[in-house]
Amino acid sequence: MLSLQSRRPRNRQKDAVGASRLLKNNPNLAYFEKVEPDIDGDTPGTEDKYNCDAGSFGSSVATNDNGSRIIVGSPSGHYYAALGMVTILYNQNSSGEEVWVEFGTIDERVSGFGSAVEMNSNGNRVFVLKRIDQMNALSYVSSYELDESTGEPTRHQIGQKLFEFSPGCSGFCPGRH
Amino acid sequence: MKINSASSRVIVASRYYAQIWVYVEGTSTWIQIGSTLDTGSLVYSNVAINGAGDIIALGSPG
Repeated sequence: MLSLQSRRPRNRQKDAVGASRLLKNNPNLAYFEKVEPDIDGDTPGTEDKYNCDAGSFGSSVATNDNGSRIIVGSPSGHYYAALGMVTILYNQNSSGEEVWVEFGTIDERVSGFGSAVEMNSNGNRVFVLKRIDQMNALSYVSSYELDESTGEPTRHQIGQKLFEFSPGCSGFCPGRH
Repeated sequence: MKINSASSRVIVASRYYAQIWVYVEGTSTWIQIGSTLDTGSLVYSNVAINGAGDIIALGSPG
């Protein structure tokens, strides 16, 4: 069994680092052991590792059933980085070591995108919520399929955006999803 | 926002409304199931959907 935690800095300064942490349940033990290393969004003083706002990296997380894939949201939405995106990684665990490799990013460049994420059991379909915030008064859910059939990981949106609302439409104001 | 096991159904909720959508394979289209659910006097804060996607739960604390 796999558990997932995200670390989001309380103090949202530019160099603050968001991260995702995995914990694995050892069947012989009655507790979860931390999987090393954490998946950090950035290292302070360097370029953002996943080209995202590292301060919000880890705001939302989801995995597939066997824990080999993870999607991490960095919705941002504050003054210095008004964009939101998600990063999808897979575990290239060939030598018993945890090696997380970027599968790809979904970058809509709108604040609040990535506030919540979901991944299906196979890890080939993901859902991303764009939440209303101070920077962008629109809410919706986008769904994507991940494709590796060509050898090059790609993703494409499936269907239309769902649950599209803005505060202007009949007073509907989604604030929490 | 939550999805069922097959990721063919998704429930999305705000504080006062909830919608359930089903994906129609082959048409690349999501269709809303039923009408938007109104909370009435409740305020939703959490949602869940079972694996089959035929049962949903809406949490309203307080």
